[in-house]
Amino acid sequence: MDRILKVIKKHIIVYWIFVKNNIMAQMEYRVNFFSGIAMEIGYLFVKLLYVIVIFRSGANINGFTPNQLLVFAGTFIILTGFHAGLFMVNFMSMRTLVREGMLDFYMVKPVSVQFIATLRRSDMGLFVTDVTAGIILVALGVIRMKLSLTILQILGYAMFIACGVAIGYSLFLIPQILTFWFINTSAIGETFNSFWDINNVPMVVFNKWFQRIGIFVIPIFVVTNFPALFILDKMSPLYFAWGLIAPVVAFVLVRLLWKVAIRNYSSASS
Amino acid sequence: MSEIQVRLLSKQFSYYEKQTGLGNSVKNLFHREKLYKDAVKEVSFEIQAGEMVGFIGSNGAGKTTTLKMLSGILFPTSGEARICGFVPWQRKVEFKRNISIVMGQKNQLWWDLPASESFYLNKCIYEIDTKAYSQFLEELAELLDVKHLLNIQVRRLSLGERMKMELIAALIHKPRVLFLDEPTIGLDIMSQKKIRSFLKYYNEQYKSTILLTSHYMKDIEDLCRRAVVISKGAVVYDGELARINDAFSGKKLVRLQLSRQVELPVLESFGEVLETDGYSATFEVCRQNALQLTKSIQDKLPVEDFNIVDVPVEEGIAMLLQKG
Repeated sequence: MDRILKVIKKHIIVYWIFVKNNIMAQMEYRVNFFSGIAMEIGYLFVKLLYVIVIFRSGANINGFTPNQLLVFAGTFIILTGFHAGLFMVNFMSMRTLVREGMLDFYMVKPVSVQFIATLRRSDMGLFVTDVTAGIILVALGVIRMKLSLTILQILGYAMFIACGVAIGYSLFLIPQILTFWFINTSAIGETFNSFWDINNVPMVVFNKWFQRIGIFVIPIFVVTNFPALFILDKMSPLYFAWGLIAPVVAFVLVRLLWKVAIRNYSSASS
Repeated sequence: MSEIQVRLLSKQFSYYEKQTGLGNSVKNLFHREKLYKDAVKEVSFEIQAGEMVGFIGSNGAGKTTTLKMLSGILFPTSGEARICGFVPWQRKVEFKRNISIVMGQKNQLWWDLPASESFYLNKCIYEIDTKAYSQFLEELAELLDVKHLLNIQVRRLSLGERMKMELIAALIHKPRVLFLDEPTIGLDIMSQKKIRSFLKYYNEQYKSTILLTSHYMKDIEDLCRRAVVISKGAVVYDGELARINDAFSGKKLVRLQLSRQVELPVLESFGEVLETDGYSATFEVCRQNALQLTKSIQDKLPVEDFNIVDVPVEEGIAMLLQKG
């Protein structure tokens, strides 16, 4: 147990240095850094415009009120922050790492290769903007609905967000892992990536079978729908249990797939 | 016990061919004939702790593939290897702590940051004590004469300076075994010299085991007493570098300077011509025939100058590779 904790602690320290290095690397280019901040602030406002869109349209989808939709939209934006700011920047470069043999240096480091290859890059501007915008939208929805949340509910929501992050990581890493066999999988990867936006609306807009597939087979709906369902107290016991099991199953599967894939790494000629 | 043990190590890659043209690309979409290449064929050798060995071979001979298998980057097709007692491709953390690899054509440093940030990252990855890290970094930076460059963005450094930083990044955790894959490639003479003298010092001071590949014979001659020569994936020589020409002990080279141009067929009528540009030529001859041939050449060709020498190490290796 001590050893595991030590390994986790080490990975957290190294991850913090990755984050710091990414921020410092961005700061080396001052014009780009400041214009990036301005752009992200602009994006923040654009995302907050969701509020106006939702209330102007008076959207009421399958029994979900505009305030509830706000919670859904906010949760989607929070998770998009993790997805785009922390994961996709790495996933998109996986092909280059494999094709050009740049994974070589990561393979010889005494830390998890999957950890370095999938988490070393981050875009904190994007992450912070999305998470902030998302939290504001969720908070607005909750306040307007006059929900009095207990600490347990807030912790539960955070837990389902964490589960969504884990599923999102695992699910979207799978097409990238295929790179180890097929070298260039850009078409599969980009098709799969477009599925992310399926979470833009609550899953109730889809028919029952599509929902079941999206929950139990390819658990894409678990990523952003479940935290929102939990905080709105619309979660069935089955969904509650699956919401906790799915990330573990997805993470274990992707870990096993990674281990097989890494054996196929053929590097590149020097 | 040997620090590096390699037994019958082989690696086979699959590939396919595509003939020129769009039509063949379309054909290739539906049918590809899988071909196989033995990049490394039953390579065996052992290296003792503290030894620095030159790993020599032409492009595509299998040097880098072997180094990648020994550093755990690639899985072999068959064979065995133990580095510091570990099987490399099991990729155990303890194994990774004990090795390092430097590749002249790839870099591990963060491009947009000063090298010091990459060193600090490695400090945390290898869990090096802060005081020991600072002391060793200072020592390495002083030895390589890059102390004043530690805080400059990597992308602004010259190729030679970057390679020195790469060496520091690779050595900061004091690995027992170091794999160097063409560390001086593309560098100017002064940088090559500096890196050679640094490696020599490092090997003597820290008794690390080093396997070095380089196309510059000067690197190998200056640093290694022993060489393993690999050709077409197989070891063709393993022994003292100075004795590499024992295989050619019955041979001599006759070098000529000519006062006017002489065509190759004329030169070839005197013996085996290794190289010529018309105004100079090098013959490989049997030791006992050397004098007689020289006399005959002097009589019949416009010789300005000539000398008879033993086969130099570099040419001995070239001959080995040709024969391999």
